[in-house]
Amino acid sequence: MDQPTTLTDLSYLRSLTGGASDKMSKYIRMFITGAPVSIQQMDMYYLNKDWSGLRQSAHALKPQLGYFGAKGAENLIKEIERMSGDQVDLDKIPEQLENFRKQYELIQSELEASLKELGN
Amino acid sequence: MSDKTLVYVVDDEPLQRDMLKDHLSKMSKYEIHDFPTGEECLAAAKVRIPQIVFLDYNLNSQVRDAMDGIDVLKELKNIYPEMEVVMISGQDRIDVAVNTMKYGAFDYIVKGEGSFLRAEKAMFNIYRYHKLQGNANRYKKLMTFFGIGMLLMIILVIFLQSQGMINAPGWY
Repeated sequence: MDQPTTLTDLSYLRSLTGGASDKMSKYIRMFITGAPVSIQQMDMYYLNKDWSGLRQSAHALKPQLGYFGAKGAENLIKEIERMSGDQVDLDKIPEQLENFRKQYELIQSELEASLKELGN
Repeated sequence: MSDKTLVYVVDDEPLQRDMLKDHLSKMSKYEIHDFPTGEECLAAAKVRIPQIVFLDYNLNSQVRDAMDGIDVLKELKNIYPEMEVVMISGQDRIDVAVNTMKYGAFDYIVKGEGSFLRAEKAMFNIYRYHKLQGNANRYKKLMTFFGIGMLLMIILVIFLQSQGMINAPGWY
């Protein structure tokens, strides 16, 4: 089976906004502004062993990834939410956070390219 | 004063809040205002009481000591029992949904791709529910007036009969 060539898919956002490029651009900007803050928060919560905080940050980020069609990253964040929420496999969280961070960097690049295409 | 239905959207995630507000704003008969915390929503409700509130379940992902959605729901329903509150959450757990209903939420929406259409449908359901409730109340009043009218009529007939002013029914 072929791997998807991109990590994001803006078809849902396009359908929700009726293709309004100003709205799409606004949502993309809000996401790429807010997500790095959430990632920093998750790192901090992990270092402080604040599992409830980590679960909440992961939980808040999860639906947003879905809106941009970032299914792979959404699955990673679901795992982080599960591990911290149930406090299981806690030793695997740093690896998951690192994988998520790497994936997010690619997602951000894709979304920045989409912003240029949208021309807003 | 606007005759539009006043709706508050409360979510600590700016993207989620804006997307829902923009989506609901497409419907012209609603005036939508948004708040990042339950505390700000409660303060605003003291000035202008909204008919509908879309309330996030986890309101403390940004500010840890902020009131959570359930506490805000309890307070809103306690002060304004007529207000309809629709809870929104990323958790698709039945116990969470049941818990919100227990405290008077009208509906429970799971965040995700389908949530904006569900929110639109919840608005329609609230409108339909209140319309039906209004009709039921009018019907109840009408039936009460009809009952009282019939009773007065019977009393009048009995009185007039006892005074010999009218004859007994003439079927014999």
